[in-house]
Amino acid sequence: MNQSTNKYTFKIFRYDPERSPRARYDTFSLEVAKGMTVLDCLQAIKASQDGTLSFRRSCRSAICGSCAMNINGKNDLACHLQVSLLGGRTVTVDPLPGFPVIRDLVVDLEEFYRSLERVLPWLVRSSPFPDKELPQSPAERDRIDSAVNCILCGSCTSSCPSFWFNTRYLAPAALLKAYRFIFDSRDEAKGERLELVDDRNGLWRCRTIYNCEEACPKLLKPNEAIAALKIEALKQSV
Amino acid sequence: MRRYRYRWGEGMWAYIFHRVSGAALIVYLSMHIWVIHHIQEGQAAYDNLMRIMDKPVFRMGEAALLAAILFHSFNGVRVACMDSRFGMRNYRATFWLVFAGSAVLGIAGGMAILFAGK
Repeated sequence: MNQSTNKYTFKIFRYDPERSPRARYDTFSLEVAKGMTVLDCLQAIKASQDGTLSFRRSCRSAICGSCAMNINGKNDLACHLQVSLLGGRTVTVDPLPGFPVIRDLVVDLEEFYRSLERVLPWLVRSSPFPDKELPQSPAERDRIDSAVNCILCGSCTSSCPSFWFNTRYLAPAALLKAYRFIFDSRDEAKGERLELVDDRNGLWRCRTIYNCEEACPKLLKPNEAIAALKIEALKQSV
Repeated sequence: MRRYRYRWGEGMWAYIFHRVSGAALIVYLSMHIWVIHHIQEGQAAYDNLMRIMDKPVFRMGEAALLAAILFHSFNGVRVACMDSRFGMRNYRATFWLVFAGSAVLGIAGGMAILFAGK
């Protein structure tokens, strides 16, 4: 197959605390074929130029969320972002901002998962489960449809300036997860969850910057979920 | 420092301008109370202070204050609307609307402040 090729420069964040406490950028030149994603390029660089380059990846299908990183200043999944869609011939790749870097493009997501745990990310019911299934009407499902599709890549939380300055803030991903269960017709812990998010480190720390909406690779709207939760929390308090 | 290299969009600028204009309003209110309290020192002292306040540097400060008040007010309404799920999808356009409105009214009002009585 005859594919047109182009040379791109990759400027990649490097950090290995076992070798040096200082971070740096390494530059790699790569011939990029049509359709290649940023992840394809990182794998090619690792295979042919520098085997020590570290990054997370798994499904290569924008489903697992492992390869979320900051590409040309914006968070995205390396596996679904094609290099040809980026402007210019230089691609700058950084680890997700706001999280501590473990090595190169690998970040420590401990705080991210801890914030998720705080909103009880599972179905809570005190009523007995029916024998076969717990049905929902299409309208009830529609209400949570987009929130269910979150792949927990961390792009939204990492893009949020409120989270950068206060990692105790629940941040968009956990608040979207809270929305997913609070508005789930089968769940019975709405009041408890609303109390958890109606907190100075919860809903009200959202400053409507909306980086989260731009960053979400699944085109979800954490900002709209947060606004809906704010209204619900107000309704509960009056 | 990596986080500061994040791509700056309209939402980030709206947030920064809102914070800076809010801080400017707090500084102004403190100065205003300090100026007003000179009334108790008698008319001569107060008139003397007012003459100082009429200098171009303070008039320019008043013009900047007007711009800060306009942006903070308009953006405050914008944020309240978005928190009420109104205009969320158009948050970029509404930022530019707020910015342009503040700039036009700020420049017009600023000219009036700078050249008043001239």
